[in-house]
Amino acid sequence: MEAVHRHGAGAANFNTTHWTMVLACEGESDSPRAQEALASFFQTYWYPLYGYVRRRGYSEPDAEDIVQAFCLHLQEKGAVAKADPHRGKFRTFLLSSLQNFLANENERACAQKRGGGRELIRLDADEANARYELEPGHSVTPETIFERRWANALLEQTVSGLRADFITRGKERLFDGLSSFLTSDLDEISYQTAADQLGLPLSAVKTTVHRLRRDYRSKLREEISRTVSSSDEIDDEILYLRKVLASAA
Amino acid sequence: MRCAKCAAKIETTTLGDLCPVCLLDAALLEGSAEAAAEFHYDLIEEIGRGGMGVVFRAIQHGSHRQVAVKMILAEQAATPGMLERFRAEAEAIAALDHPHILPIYEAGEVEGTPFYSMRFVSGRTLREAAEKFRGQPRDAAALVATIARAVHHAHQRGILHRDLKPGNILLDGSQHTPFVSDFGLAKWIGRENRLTLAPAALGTPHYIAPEQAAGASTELTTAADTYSLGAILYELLTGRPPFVADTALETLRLVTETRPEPPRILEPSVPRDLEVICLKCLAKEPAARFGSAAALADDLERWLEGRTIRARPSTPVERAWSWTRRNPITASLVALCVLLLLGAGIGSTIGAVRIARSRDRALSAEKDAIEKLYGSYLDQARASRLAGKRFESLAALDKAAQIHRSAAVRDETIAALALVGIGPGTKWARPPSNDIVSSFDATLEHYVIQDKPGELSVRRIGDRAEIVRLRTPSGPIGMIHGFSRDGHFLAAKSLDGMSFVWELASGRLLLRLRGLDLWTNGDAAFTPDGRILAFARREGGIAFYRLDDIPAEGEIDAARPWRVWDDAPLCHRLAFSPTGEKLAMVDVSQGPKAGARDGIFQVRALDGAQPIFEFRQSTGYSAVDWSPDGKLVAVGSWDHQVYLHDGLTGELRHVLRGHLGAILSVCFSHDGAWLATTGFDNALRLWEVSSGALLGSAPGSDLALQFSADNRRLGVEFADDTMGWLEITPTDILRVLQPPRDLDRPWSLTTSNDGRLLASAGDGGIQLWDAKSGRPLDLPDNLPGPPAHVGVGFAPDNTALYSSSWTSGLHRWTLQRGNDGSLMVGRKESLALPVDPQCFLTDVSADGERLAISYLGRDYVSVISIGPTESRRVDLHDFPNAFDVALSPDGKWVAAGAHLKNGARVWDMKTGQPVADLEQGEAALVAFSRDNHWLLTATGGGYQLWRVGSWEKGPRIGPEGEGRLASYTAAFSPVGNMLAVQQTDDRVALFDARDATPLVTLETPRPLRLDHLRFTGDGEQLAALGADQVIQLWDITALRRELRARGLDWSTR
Repeated sequence: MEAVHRHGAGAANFNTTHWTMVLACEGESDSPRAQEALASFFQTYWYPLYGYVRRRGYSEPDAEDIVQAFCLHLQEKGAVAKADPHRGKFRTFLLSSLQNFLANENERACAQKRGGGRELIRLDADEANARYELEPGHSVTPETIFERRWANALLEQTVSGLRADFITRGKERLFDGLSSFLTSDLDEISYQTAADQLGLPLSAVKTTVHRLRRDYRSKLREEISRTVSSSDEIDDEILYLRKVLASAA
Repeated sequence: MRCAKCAAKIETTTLGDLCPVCLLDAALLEGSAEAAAEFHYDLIEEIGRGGMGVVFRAIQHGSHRQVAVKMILAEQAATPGMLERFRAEAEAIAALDHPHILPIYEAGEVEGTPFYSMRFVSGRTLREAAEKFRGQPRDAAALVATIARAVHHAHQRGILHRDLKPGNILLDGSQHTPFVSDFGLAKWIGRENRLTLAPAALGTPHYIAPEQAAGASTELTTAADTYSLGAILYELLTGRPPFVADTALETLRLVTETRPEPPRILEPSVPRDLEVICLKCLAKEPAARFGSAAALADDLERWLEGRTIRARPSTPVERAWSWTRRNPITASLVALCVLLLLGAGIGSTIGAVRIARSRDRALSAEKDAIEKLYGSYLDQARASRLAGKRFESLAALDKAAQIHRSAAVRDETIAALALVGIGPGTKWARPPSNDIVSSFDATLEHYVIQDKPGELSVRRIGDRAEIVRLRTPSGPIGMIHGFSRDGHFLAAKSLDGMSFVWELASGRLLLRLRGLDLWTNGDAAFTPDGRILAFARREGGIAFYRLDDIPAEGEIDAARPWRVWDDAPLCHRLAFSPTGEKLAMVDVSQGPKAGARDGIFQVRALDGAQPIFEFRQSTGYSAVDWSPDGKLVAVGSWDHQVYLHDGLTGELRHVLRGHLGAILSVCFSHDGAWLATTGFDNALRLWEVSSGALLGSAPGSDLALQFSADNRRLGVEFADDTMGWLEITPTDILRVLQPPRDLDRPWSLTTSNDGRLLASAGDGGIQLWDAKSGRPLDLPDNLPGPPAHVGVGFAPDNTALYSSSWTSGLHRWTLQRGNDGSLMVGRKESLALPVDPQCFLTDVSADGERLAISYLGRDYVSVISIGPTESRRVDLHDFPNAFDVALSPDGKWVAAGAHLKNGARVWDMKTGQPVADLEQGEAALVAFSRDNHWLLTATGGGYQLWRVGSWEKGPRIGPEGEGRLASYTAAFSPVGNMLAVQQTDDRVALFDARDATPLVTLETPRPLRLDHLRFTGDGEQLAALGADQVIQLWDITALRRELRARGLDWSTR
């Protein structure tokens, strides 16, 4: 048996990326870390996948089934043999995998399939459907839908995670009062207004906003870092997603 | 809706009014003023502790840069003013930018505790290196001049150091580049300073200026630092500080009252001018010293250049000036006593007044201080534990427990107890050498040292008695290749590059040959049976020599090897597989900076032409060893990581991360369970091979690394010219059971009621275990290979093991205990029971007469009675996607949980009628408590207890924090009313099952993604089956014994 393999310095950076997760599934679909990462991943990115499939013309229940089946497919051994971290962004890989999967969909029984033991992926199908009804018009390609949903999913994941952190610390109200500072300009007047509304000292508001923005930034960047092949690409990916979102007329 | 700021269209998302485009913009604002401090370091080890805080070696996230992080000591955090003092220090250093002042990288706060990070200096302090300067006045003068320049830089920026001493001068690298550190007592000149009240401001008695000793810290000037520089110079020249006394108090008295001995009295070789410069610094009157630290540096440099110095010897008048102008002696004594309040603790009537006042102040802060101290001990324990330091962690926990015997201390104690302890054993001196001239044999019974140039002494470890003496024909030995594993041969290399092989029994030289450069010692390897020697040739390729066929006299002809691989890559470390059939080779020359060529790690069969597998990486490899069963090869790398590869296929199994320097050596324990590694970071680490988890660590070691035959000792060559062994203490509260066969995806875990057996099952079949010894037992007629979704359950009277399989239905093995307690297992019997295919056995009833079954793709579950004569099946309908089915101990109820949205349901066993629908949604786990009081259901959202009979909600156990459990499993204990639940990825929590009171949390060093939890039938152990098929077996009895010994056991009501 002959095998030549490289695990150069670059590979070390993949520890926590979605790439490693998928590759780990490929090698060892029982790998607990990989399963877990995949489950949480799909919980976050279910909606972009669903949006794409719906836009390709599938009915609600079919789209749900297809995405569910696609998720399971990705966890199966051999499913991602062609995955190559050096090819670039995980987002691109996922979309092309989904496209391939759809192409083969007719031969595939996406009927009920027993999930991986108790490791079930919660797929909020009802919620996704309700949101899909509100999607913009039909001039948009499925690919664009996917990318926009992807960007939004990233942001929603980040912001809701941030909010959850505050809630854990019993500071829900503080978060809701200050979350607008994530995007607004930081000026003394708005600081003072928020301080008055929350009944907090100005300095406390400033500090919290500072930490909020800092935490947000690092959370989002961390989330993106899992979808790109090196940390150098994070800013590029942010700019790309920004372009995708800003182009929505 | 459009964004008011960027006009982008805002679509409906859960983001509310937040514009996604602006959100993305906000993430791009890197490096803005907002991007301020947060704690992104991994603390590795404590490297220093002083009056002002504790310094850790740490790794910065992202950059992976090694830094020093200083944090305030918890004892001090609550001392009035200490936090401010600490911040002042950070502020002071941050204001400085000088090549000989340790630069501060970042200052911030983590959870209210301030910290700052600075350059990490790996060398020693001047205190440790001071002796090197004895008799080297020029070196001493140059060093003090350099330090004085740095101090002057601080003075120019308004900062006094106030605690200059040899221990605060760090010497970096081979050039001993000095760095001034620890501005912990720094003071801004002229700034109103509330901090001066703290007694610690007095600095270190041996080096502080008289005016500082007198407590006049508000009046200090740069001259105080100049005095300290003089005191340092004095010590470098004479070997001791200017004033030495038995107690700190006495030292301070000397500082304030007497004149130092001129250095030339103590050390006549001190040049006269240097003495003059030194004494000028030590003048009692600040104004009589150098005008600035720069002036001192100037004069030292003048002296070094052979020019005339500016300093003049003090005149008799100056000497007569004496100390009479100073404050009354009593005034300074008051200050001294305050110092002693913290230090020696000697009382004095004068000090007592001040001490009482201080105590009043201290008492008010005491409570708060104690809480912080407690928190810091816990943090320290956790940091030590995560670094694998069992003993350090337990020591900190003992201190924490003296403050609160809390649940947190208990939990952390358990986590530390789960580590392997690596403690000091025995060590003895070895001849000091920079070369590698000592080594151990394979079972740590013998060692070899070069005790005379060109002579090797092989000795017994037990009594250090020499067994044989080996002489080289050509000069001193520079490297020892090592013993053959069977102990018959030893190979070593002389300084002139010639390698020799001796037969140990006779001391006879068998082979001499010229190999690679001197600096590598792994270029010769014996097969474990000592029959073959592989040798890396200087001209490339590997030569093999037979040692089982040696001539009766004379040497083996080095020019006629038995076999040669001409095409083998140039490799410096060789290791034969345990059977001697394969050779692993690594090329250690390719460090990260070595150039374009990748380092090679290759494995070849001895009789094969081609590599079996080969890896290349730019960061190269540095060490290699085979596991005793030959299934794994461990390869260390210059990238600080150790790679564990499959020995057959080369597949990468684990990457062991944690070392902070290139790996020096890797060594498997004889049972293959552990891997010991050492690195250039001067750390020794012990890893669990099966999981890659770090189990323990200890400081300091070098190349020679070898386990004793019982794996309880680890032979180490220490950095301090000693060698010896470390004692290894495995944990007795946790065992890891590695299945000998591949079970594939685990589905089921069960325990026998007598507490003696465990069975785990997966798609690949069943594994039976002896629960007491942890030994795997080979079940006859095990279930066959194809994915079979196997469920298992023991008969309650321990006489049978039942199994279900999708491919072959229900089976039974009869179990019997012989008179000697040995287990006898019958052949597999097929149970002709009326079940559908693809059934899954989930429970056996307490009376042993019923089996609970779920199915794939059916909308019912079954309870099957297995009476002696007839079998009966009852189906409970309209419940699709059932996963788990449980039978209540009193036989009255059946509960089932579904893995999709059907929740959980309870039926009356007698009537088959549903009596309660419990959870909504997914509820894939159901279990009855043994006292029949509770039914537990579990979902990713947590665990819910229901009162059996009334089916009212009882207590709920949620996941920690927000969100859901990635996996969940739970078990009731058969005795003692305990409930174990998986709480997070790495923790299992035990509760009192009666009211869900938390008892204890079990945390392990290993990843703990569990599929199943189960107590053994005697309740003494808790088994946790992971997705990786490995069972972790907690010994609850041993655990409680350990806790009891520390006063930490939980109460049993």
